[in-house]
Amino acid sequence: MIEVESLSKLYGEFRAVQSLSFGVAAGEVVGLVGPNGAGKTTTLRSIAGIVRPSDGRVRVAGHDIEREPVAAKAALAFIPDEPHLFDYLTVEEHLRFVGRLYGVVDAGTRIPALLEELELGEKRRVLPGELSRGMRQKLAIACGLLHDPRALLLDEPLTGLDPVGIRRMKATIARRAEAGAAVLLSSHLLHMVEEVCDRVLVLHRGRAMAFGTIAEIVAERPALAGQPLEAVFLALVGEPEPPG
Amino acid sequence: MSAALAYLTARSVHNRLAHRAAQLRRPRYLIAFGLGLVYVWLVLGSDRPAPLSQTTLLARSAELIGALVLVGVAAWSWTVGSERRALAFSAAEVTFLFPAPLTRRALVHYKLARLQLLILLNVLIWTLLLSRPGGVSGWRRGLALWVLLSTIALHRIGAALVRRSVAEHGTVGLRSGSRAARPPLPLGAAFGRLVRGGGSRVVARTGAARPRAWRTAPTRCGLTDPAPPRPDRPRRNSAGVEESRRSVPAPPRA
Repeated sequence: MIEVESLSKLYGEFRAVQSLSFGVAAGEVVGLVGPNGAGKTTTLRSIAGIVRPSDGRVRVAGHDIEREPVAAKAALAFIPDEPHLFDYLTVEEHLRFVGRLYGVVDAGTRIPALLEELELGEKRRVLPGELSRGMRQKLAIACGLLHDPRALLLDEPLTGLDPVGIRRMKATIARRAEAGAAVLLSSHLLHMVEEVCDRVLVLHRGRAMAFGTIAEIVAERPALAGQPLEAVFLALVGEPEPPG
Repeated sequence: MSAALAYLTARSVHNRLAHRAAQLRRPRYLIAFGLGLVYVWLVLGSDRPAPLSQTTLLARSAELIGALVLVGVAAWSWTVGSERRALAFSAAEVTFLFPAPLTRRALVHYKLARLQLLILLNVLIWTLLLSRPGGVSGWRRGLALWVLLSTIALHRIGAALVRRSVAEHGTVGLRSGSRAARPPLPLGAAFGRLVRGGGSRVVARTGAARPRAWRTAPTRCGLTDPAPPRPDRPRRNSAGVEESRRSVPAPPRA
């Protein structure tokens, strides 16, 4: 569903992503992990068509993001870590706008259900400035899910959510994957990645250090056998484990 | 612009106005609004000076100064202006519109339409401020100001896009980027010609009544008013030959 081939992104002389290749199949959840500045967000934004790759190819649902951007983007949703919303659109108007943007025919019936599911029903006529950080994040998530995307890109999806919201978000991710969506998410919360993701892509300084299931990654490094993802991650990015 | 983007614009404008109106329930906003209304009433309702005739030296200087300002704006755009501000999208627009199934053309059209809203608001304000009894009609002045402000805005965008393209792609970017700046170029060149010839014309032929070129019309109509009829001035026929004045009697025949 999501195919990335030799993706590179340069900002001036700085190589944010270097020759990255991987894929996410339909119904699969892949986690992007790496230290700050590893290239996680740049990778997600390149796949979403927000930034133009310097080199390489990205295909979403069989469509090249550069050559057929409209068809490729119709199949995906990108939910950023910071919920940037329109200052003068109410909660419900955000969803109506997204419904029109993606041509959702039954938006009128989906919107109330989505608002109730994400506990935004009482805030439907409220402007984003009056919402808490968590509520704003929920609205951004609702906007991403409205058109039932076949490829779901989530950048730090649990940031700002309360424990109940985190549990619901994990369930939503699992449910979308079961329904056949390809989910690619980035997170610093390694226990969440371990819990939710089928495969993990470890990035460091724009390069892929490892890609596969945790068992496969550990199998290639016998010294890490039996270790949790955190220890594997620290070993891959070259950071010594803290004492104690 | 797609229906979704039209919806976004319409609802944003509506909610912004509703939000501002709701703020008037608070005393400090209400007082500020009242003071603003009184100020506008004083500016528009008071006896303002007579129209600035196009034949006066001041009006001709205004035309020249206007042209110089336009050239200054263009020069600034091409040299030190910020290319980052060309069609700058807000964080919300980037988040919602860039990953959406929209063509780049649709995004550019959307930003230009939003820019037009701003320009039209400025046109409305300046038309009201510059209008004088007996002067150019409001519609004509508004149209002239709209042409003027739109030309400036489009030229700045074109220049910024070319600069950005050159910064990112070198000479290849110059070739492709120059297409973006092409639409405003004829108007920019026209203003350039105005300045080239305008200085000498203003200084040397202040009283000349020859017809002006269409290209100076926006500046002329936007900032000045038409000349009042002057019966004592010599008229020219279609061949440009000065006709005799009616007030001067013909010499008696012998």
